[in-house]
Amino acid sequence: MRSSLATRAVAVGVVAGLGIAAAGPAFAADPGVTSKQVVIGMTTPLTGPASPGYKDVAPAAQAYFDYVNANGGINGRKVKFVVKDDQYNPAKTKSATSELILRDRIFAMFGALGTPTHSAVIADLNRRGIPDVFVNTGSSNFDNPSRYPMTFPYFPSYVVEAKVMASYIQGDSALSGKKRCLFYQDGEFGENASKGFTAAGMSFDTTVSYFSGQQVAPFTAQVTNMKAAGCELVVFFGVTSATAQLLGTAAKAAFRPTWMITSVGSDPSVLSGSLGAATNTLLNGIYSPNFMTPIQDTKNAYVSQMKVIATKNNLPWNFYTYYGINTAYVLSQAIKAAGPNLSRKGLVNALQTKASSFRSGAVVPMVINSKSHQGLTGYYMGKYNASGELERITNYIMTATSSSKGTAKKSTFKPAGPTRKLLP
Amino acid sequence: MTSFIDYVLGGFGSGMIIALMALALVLTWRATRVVNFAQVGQAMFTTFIALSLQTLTGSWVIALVGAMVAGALLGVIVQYLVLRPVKRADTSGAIIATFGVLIALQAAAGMIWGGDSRAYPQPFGNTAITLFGREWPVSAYDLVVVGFAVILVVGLTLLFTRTNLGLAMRATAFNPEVARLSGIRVGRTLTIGWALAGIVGAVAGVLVAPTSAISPNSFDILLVFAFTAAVIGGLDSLIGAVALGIGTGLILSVVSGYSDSSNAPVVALVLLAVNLVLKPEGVFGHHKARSV
Amino acid sequence: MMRDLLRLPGARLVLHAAVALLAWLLLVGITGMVDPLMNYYIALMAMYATAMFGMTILVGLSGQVSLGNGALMAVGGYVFAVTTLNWETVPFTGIAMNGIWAMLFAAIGGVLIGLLIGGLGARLRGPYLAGLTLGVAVGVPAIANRFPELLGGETGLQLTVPYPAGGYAAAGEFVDEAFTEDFPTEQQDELPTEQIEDLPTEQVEELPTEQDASGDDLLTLDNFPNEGDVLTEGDVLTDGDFSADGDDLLTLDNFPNEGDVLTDGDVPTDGDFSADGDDLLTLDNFPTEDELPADPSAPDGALDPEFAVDPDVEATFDGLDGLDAGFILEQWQAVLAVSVACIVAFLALNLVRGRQGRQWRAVRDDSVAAAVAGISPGRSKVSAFVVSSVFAALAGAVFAQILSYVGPGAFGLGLSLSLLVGVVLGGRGSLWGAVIGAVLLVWLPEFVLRAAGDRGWEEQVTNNAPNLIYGLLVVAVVLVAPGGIVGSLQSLVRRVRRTPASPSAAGLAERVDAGVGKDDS
Repeated sequence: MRSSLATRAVAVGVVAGLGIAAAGPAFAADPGVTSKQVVIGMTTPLTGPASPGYKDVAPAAQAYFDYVNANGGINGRKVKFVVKDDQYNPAKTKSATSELILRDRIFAMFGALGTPTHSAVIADLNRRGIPDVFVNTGSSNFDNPSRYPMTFPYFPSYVVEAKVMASYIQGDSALSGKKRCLFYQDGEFGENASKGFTAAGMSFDTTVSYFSGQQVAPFTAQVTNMKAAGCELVVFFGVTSATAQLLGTAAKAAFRPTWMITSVGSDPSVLSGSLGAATNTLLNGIYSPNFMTPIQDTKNAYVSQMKVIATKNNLPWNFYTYYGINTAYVLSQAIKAAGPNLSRKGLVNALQTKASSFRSGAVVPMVINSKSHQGLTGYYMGKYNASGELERITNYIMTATSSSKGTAKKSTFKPAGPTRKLLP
Repeated sequence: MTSFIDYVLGGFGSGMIIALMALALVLTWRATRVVNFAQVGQAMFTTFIALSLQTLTGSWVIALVGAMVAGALLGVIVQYLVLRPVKRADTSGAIIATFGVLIALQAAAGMIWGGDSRAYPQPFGNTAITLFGREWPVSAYDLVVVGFAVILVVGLTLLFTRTNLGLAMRATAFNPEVARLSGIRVGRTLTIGWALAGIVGAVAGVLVAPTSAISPNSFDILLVFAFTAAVIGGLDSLIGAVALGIGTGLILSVVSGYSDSSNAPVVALVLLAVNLVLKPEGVFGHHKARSV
Repeated sequence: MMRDLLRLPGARLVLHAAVALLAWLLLVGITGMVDPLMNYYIALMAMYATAMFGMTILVGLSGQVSLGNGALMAVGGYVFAVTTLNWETVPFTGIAMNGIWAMLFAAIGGVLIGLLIGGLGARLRGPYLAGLTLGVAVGVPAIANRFPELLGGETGLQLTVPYPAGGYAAAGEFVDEAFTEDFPTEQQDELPTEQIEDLPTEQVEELPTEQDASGDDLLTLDNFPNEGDVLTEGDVLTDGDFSADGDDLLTLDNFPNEGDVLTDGDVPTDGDFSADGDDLLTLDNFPTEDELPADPSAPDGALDPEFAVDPDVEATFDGLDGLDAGFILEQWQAVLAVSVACIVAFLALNLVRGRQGRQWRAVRDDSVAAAVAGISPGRSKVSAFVVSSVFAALAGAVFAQILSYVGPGAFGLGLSLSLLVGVVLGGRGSLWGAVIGAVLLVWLPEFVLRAAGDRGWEEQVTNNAPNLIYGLLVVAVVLVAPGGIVGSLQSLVRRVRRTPASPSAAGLAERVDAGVGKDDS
């Protein structure tokens, strides 16, 4: 009682005092944008347990924005990119985001990383009408334009990935007859994976799990169970550090099924950091879906040019760098498409109406409109070769939605080439 | 039954690592009555040093010895610079000080070696041993880990029971004032205790690194398990730390094997609570007269 | 005179109420004068202070160590979240549920968990209690993972915080006005499904599978259709393939022509990608600074003057930024947190200065003597634990409202240790220490971030510098000021006045932990 009365009293006082009572917000000038600059914010773990790999995304995006700024900016505006380290702690994400909004006056949020972390700020960003572009997570919950009109995921959700895996397994006679097992990380990975596989009508003979943080100890018990169950195809949904632990433990136990590993859990550069010399042997023959042109494919105009930007900035050439440059490139195109009179509403409109025209290293269509903010819609299936590189093995792609119904559909899609010199 | 045996054997390796880390905690506790939160940080730091040495020389043994030397030095430095000035009785202050050291060490490691996970080369074969017509989830490397743990425990037990230094350390742990009066150089004894703990922690780090890779935060979860094991074991008992450390590894493995793995931390918490209620001084804690 | 007045029955209560009310009025007044970010910080500080009053009683007065009060905050936060999300009315009463009821339930949750853990911990000393509470700090948030349906698992739960009317008005209006037409209210789940399911299936059968594919059909490095091929009919889904409403689908008709965004010259054609076309960015033609066309109005690299302002100066509430104008959410949070903190401070003042406080201190200093005097050491310790648990739970409920979210990651071991850091740095055994500790917990990370800054060092150095400074600073304060800030100030004041020592916080720290750490020696 006390607080609400007080609040009302104070609210009246403040509003009256500042003389802003009924004055509607000015649409002309959104915060964070002037004729010469646009301010973009990001929260991501730069230190702490979740930082390995992911800490490379922000410097990569920064490198791309530097490159754009050095070439005249976007519609004459330079990008000021403010990154805050949240250590993957939702409480810190909240503080960092508040500072980005209230002190740094960001125009838009970009590439905020993590499901629990972003859950703590997504409502606030949307209520304030701040574009929340290309959230860096595979959670399917953020694609909900009626609830989060400002939020735009980028990569296809784990649900889509599960549907794609199911579709591929069913269509490949070498895999469809195998005894299937599912191994997942408790929580979001497990929920999304089972949602996708259930929708696709795929069941597993055995399902085992681990808890986040358990990967410090070998997965001996889980591997024992899968081995005892006679698993021939193991589908794994988890983070890369757990993949490393799993492959190591399985090798030790002489457990050699066919593996299919989620894209976020299979970055070879990070895996080779953890697995060392044995990486290529362990990875060889593992299936993994992906949505971008394989990173080693330097004949590709996207890969070669993004690698140039990475090389110029002394960044390690791994999937996180590739991803960071790629999403920064797409965001820059969106800002450019929003036109010279940049506004938050304009950016949202550009994303919702022109997303399919944005060029990127992704090889699947991007669907963003007023009814769906899905982002990228599917995957191709890839397989690791003896050099530890992911090779694309389907010339078709498989697309799906994050809905609890429907399966993945095969289709062909040929992406357009990059813009001149990779400038927006 | 077969799977039970496999779960137990599988948990043994990680249990040994937890045991060694718990052993290091017990050594610092015995020396200075401080629970050293920085212990895993020190072990992480020395393991990075070992990795650098290994890369430089290519020798696993040189790397291990280097880590042990670095561990001893780091233990002495932390004790001398941070813990010695903190009042002996100031438990909260000591916890916070070692916590600060942990954060600083992790940040320093991130500055020097970067934040990514690094592979630690496997010195011996890490494939399952085949015996009696079946494969067992135990490798030659696991046996090496067990061997090191046994050597360390036996060595430390001999040190504490058979040498003058050990006697001095026990006397100092029991009552520093009395020890000082009986001519023991208390300060030096405490420092040696920390050096020993640093060595044990360094060995644990180098041993666990090949199976879990190494990053500034990769040993964090070990702290919780090792601390739990040390407390249930009775903070004074070397045997207790080792037994409960192995036990923690087994519980994690068996619970993950028979049920959902997310039950493991909850089971560990319940066991911790039950144990402390039944045996407030720890399972292997010596029953001593109360101080009052 | 004052002393005589205080002897009157209830006088102390009135005095404490007056102090709390005065503090509340002052702080609420401040919230009306500062900018939203400062209000957010005030909310955080008040929230931490609420939890730390409990830490002061537990660690300072009762002499127990807790590494688990962050988990007790989690209990309060989760009770708040689960009751507001699941209950429309207060059970058995039919009264509509609101934030105050939810905080009441959170407090009850705090009592229960405090009784449980305090009961378990009453027999334990020093490190053993630390061990138990460390287990609590790690184990309790893990319970959320165990019951994902109710507690949201690792992802956590988003709250609809019962904001007072007007809290989000400005922003809400903006979103509504600008986007109402564009955003339908139907669930997104159903919408895209139709579109995708209409993707051609007949085409798929013709696609080669891995096994029978050979040469040209299989995607290889050589035939990968990347090099700027403009799409041809055969490559792209045709109009006829889509029966769903075409506008939202990628079709030939709505596929962006180069002209939509880019000019013809901008899009590379086949010829351009002959390995070293001029348009392809390579290491050799990477533009250097001096090659770039100079922008007459803004020199390269220079920030827009509007943003080059010192953030300190910038961060005034100028009411010009459309969305920030009239946006008082942070102030509402600050008033809420300050109100709870003042109520808790009032309770803490009465407990600390009353009979209960004397009992806690007596047990801490000499439990045998206390027992002889008729005080039950066990009951005294449990009561301290329960009080700190209730305060922590209330702080957790406030935290949940500040974040409008609860999740295991927000209430981890780090939070528990932060509370201990705060109470040690602020000064144990003094409620002022709790307040100063709370300010430090919010201000220190900010301070180290600025102290570290970006000095153009290598990435990995810049990233870790704030943490290094923070760690060293914590160590330094423990070493330099063992009694915390309050303890140091007291001894400073004493030295200036040259008066004989009264029980100081520095001395208290020793005695407190002598009780805690008193092992077998």
